[in-house]
Amino acid sequence: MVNIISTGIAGLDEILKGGLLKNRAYLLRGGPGTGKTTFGLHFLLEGVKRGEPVLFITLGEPKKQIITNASILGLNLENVNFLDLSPSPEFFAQVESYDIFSPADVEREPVTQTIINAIEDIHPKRVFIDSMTQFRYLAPDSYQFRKQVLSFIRYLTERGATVLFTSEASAEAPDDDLMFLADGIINLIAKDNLRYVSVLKLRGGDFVPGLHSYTIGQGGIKVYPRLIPEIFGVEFKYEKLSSGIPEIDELLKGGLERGTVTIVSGPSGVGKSTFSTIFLKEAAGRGENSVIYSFEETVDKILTRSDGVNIPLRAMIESGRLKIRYIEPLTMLPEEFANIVRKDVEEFGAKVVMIDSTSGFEVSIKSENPREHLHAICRYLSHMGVIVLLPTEISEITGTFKITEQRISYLADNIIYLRYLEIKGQLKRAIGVLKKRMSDFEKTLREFEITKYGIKVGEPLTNLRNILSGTPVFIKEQGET
Amino acid sequence: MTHKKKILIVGKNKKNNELLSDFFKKNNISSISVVDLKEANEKVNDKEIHLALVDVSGYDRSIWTFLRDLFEKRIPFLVIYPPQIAQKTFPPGSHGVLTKPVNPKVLLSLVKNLLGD
Repeated sequence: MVNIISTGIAGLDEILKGGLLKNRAYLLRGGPGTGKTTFGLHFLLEGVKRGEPVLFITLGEPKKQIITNASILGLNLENVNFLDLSPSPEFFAQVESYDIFSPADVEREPVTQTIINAIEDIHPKRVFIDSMTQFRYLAPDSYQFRKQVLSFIRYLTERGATVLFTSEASAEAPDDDLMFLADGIINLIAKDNLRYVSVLKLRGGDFVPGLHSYTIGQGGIKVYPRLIPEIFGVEFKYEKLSSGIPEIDELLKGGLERGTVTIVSGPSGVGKSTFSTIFLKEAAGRGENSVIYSFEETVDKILTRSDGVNIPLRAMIESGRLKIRYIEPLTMLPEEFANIVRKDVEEFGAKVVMIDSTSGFEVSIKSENPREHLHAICRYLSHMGVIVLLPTEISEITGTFKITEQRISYLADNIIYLRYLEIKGQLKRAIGVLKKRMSDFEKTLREFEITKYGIKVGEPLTNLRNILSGTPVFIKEQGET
Repeated sequence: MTHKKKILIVGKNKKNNELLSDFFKKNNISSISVVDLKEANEKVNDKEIHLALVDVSGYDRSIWTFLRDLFEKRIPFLVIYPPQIAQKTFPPGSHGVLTKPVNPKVLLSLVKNLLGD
């Protein structure tokens, strides 16, 4: 691990399985506005933090502007050495512009000498070059460019520096040659107001593949590694967690197994969330922690509702057994959410997790394919032995029987459904189990009620048929007609 | 050792003139550069000039009169054209035509030949 250095961005280090190899050169590529310079600043500031001399070679943006922009993000570049090779204003005013010789003939030598002087003077351990593409114009042809870049990188790395350099790829000047020269490639993509980072190459190192989200804001860049469920796992027994209500335990033949995902399906207001919280209450009673991720109701509303039905969520929070996280709509990236879930499981030790609701998750998470991310989170939680509860709304109050409108039933090990029933002109609630992967379950429906004393569940509704239509008929009545 | 013969650099772009002067100095060839054609004529009349290097970019028609004067005074000269001009004419008396950007090696070789090295 001695030869690995941090990039200064925790999430990126995680993707790079620790960081970058020392004394190597890495290409940071991406279009305008992807934050290449800010990535570079984190890399240099990490060196400053460790007391290393660092050097920023800028060929585009002037030093003053870089410092100002960094300060807006809260990054202090006081101890960063700069070599400003950006064009001066005089160049525009014709005083400095020329065309008699090519830039390669005029500028290569003085620029090279200036860089050599700076390197010999500072002896940097980290060098950030923004951008290497500019050197292309100082080379007479692509062969010379390739040779010069290789030689430049070798010069820097042999003097103990780790180099991060950017490229500005365009149709006219692609950066394929730089991609071949670099020891590693970090690729930045901005698409539909979302930003992604991926590692395309890492000589001598391993990395987490795929696209990972990142944000640029106060404090700089935050990278959220993609959740890969397969790499996580703990040993656990598929023991059952009781609901604490004997009739529901009878329906479930004992309760919900650890490491399983349960969809609690039903129309609006039928009591999906309230029903799900009984498992959290029971977990707390066993000294286990739970988390509710609410995408619809605020914490205050959830607590008020639970007070009214005798489920002591407030006391569970106070005793440290429960966390409720309200997620504001469209504020969170899926990977950002996954990282919060991971912290809650790996640090807080959550054993039961409720994502309320699946439709709220789909609407609130900024992603092209939220279902894919929900799938990954559920699989991760399963591997970690966590019980997952997914209250899932269906739009029909009664009528055609549906489990979910989001086509997520494949996620579920267990499906519990709650239905409204119209019996003799009265609206009633019923509960049933449709699927239970790990054990048998009761095939009947039971009436259930949410009262101020809690959830009450009745005997199996054996004298009714057409229950799933929502308008059941009594078997006896049918016989009479 | 600096060459005794002198080159007159004529060009509108001061930075170009400066780069050419530096280039010749580095190669031990003395030169003077001017922007104004009136001043250029004065230098030619001083009879110190052994070769003229004329960048025609940015001048009006008077540049061709200046080149004719050089021809009449039997001062060898090289003409430099901007790359945008597709058909480069060979003005009477010129010893060569170059297009920008000029290859320094080619320029040096031509100049040395014309100075009689």
